[in-house]
Amino acid sequence: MSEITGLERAYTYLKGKRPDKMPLWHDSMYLAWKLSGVSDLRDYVINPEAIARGYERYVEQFKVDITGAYLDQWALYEVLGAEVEILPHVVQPKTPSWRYRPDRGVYEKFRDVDDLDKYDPRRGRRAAALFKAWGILMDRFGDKVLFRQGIPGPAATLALVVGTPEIMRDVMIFPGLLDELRELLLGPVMDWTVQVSVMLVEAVDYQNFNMSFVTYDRSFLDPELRKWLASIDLEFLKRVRNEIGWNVPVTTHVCSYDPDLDFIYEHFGKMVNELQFYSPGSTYPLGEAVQKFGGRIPLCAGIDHLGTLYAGTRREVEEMVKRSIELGKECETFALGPGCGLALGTPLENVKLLAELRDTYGVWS
Amino acid sequence: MAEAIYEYASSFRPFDVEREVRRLVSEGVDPKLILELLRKALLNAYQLYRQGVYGLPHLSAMVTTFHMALEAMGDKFHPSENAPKVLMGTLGSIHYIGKDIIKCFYIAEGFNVLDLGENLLAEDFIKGIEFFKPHVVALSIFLTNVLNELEKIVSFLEEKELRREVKIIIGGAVANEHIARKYRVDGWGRDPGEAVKLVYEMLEKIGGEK
Repeated sequence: MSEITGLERAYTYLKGKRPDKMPLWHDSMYLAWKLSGVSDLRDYVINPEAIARGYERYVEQFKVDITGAYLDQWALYEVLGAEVEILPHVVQPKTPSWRYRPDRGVYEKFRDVDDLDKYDPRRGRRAAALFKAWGILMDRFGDKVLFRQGIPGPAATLALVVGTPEIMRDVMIFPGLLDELRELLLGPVMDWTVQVSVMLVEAVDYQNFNMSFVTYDRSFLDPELRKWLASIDLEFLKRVRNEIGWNVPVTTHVCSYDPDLDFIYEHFGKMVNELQFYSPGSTYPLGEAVQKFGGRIPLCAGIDHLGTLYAGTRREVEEMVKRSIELGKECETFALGPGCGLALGTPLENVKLLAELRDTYGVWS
Repeated sequence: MAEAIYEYASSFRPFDVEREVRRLVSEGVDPKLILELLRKALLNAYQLYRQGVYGLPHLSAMVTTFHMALEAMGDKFHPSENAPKVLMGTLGSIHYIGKDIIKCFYIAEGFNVLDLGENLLAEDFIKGIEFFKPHVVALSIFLTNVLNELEKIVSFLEEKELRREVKIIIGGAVANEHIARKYRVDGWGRDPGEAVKLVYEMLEKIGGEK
């Protein structure tokens, strides 16, 4: 009997059941870039064939069941004014002129962003390349591998354009700004973000919608602001689910170093199909997460991508994965995955080892 | 009254702080007094942050307040001559908020700080080390894409036999014990409180290894 596909494995896991073996998730913008054969990052990020080629090779070499094809996190927001500089080794935001002198006026431009004729993300070069790359990848792998696909909520739309430290600062120093932002976030910015979410899900043939909960790091927001943000994100997730259909699974992304998994589960647990998070390597022990949530929701974790996978020996990687799988077997179901995209420079032999170890130890008997 | 600075800073009113600092400086008030008031406000905010009452938005507002106050003081403010010297910067990327928060702590602590900024490569730090002759080099690192640059900085210090006099500490998303071990750095940390303690530990090591 032929083996089930990675996509089937992923769907079984997302339904809360155990497939033949634990699905393996990981992805990496920078490793895919290196695999594409295009040496200049500036050329790579606007070349859909190169982007698709990089991820094709990624899937083939590393035998993942779940992955993600993406560029930098500002690509979709270029049309809203997110400016980046592309250095030889990284894509990153430009320093805004309001970094050291706050400017309340920067939020004015968001009042009409719901006009998608004007603010279609595909007007940006990198986003346009991504959409084409997704088409290529769906043709090649759409029935075999699950591509995690999504966009963070409306607050992230603002933050990634204005600057995250800047917006965090501004809500403290400008009286009344929080209320103004709430109006924007529940209005035009929500509309834009929801519409773009639907476009993204369509681009991966409705495989899933990925919701980011990165901001729910215990060291980020105070409790009041966290609840404020959660009310907006909940509204966002409801609207997205209404648009794409409630049968489309919602995957998650919690790459935080100090994740407030309890808060995330309490507020969003009923709206998502899994809890992906960074452990080991973060402050939240995997064992504790397994005990608290393993019987209630599919969990995806187990690989310290910045520590052991990046700088550890083969033996250390093996010990880490074995231990994570042992803990994973105490859950209703479990997927093996890192905290976030794998880092450039992660030894390829360590990455290849993950599928081997999963095949050896991660079989559900 | 100079104490208004503490109230304005604690209430996240950087423009009021800036105005008040300019006024006090023009009246000849000792900049060390101004810095002490800012330090109190910063430590108070950090305490509330550690207790979970405040978050990064509060610390972010503090960074802007500190920066605007220091700008307003201009060349009137100087660290003391014997102050420990810390060279800092972000390696290879734009990430700055964590570094800037820690910079405020270092300045408030009385260290002599030279912040090289962001998007730095090894040669920037090496020039900074040769120019500034720091006790501690504090690197903020968020991307593994540039860890080869960290290797170059460490190797430079080893080749020049400066490892006893100059200590390297790292912070940021990529800072962990595996990276610290692999790149032979002297310490690593993940929050401002640890960053200040680390400098004192490094100073002790330097004193002990002399």
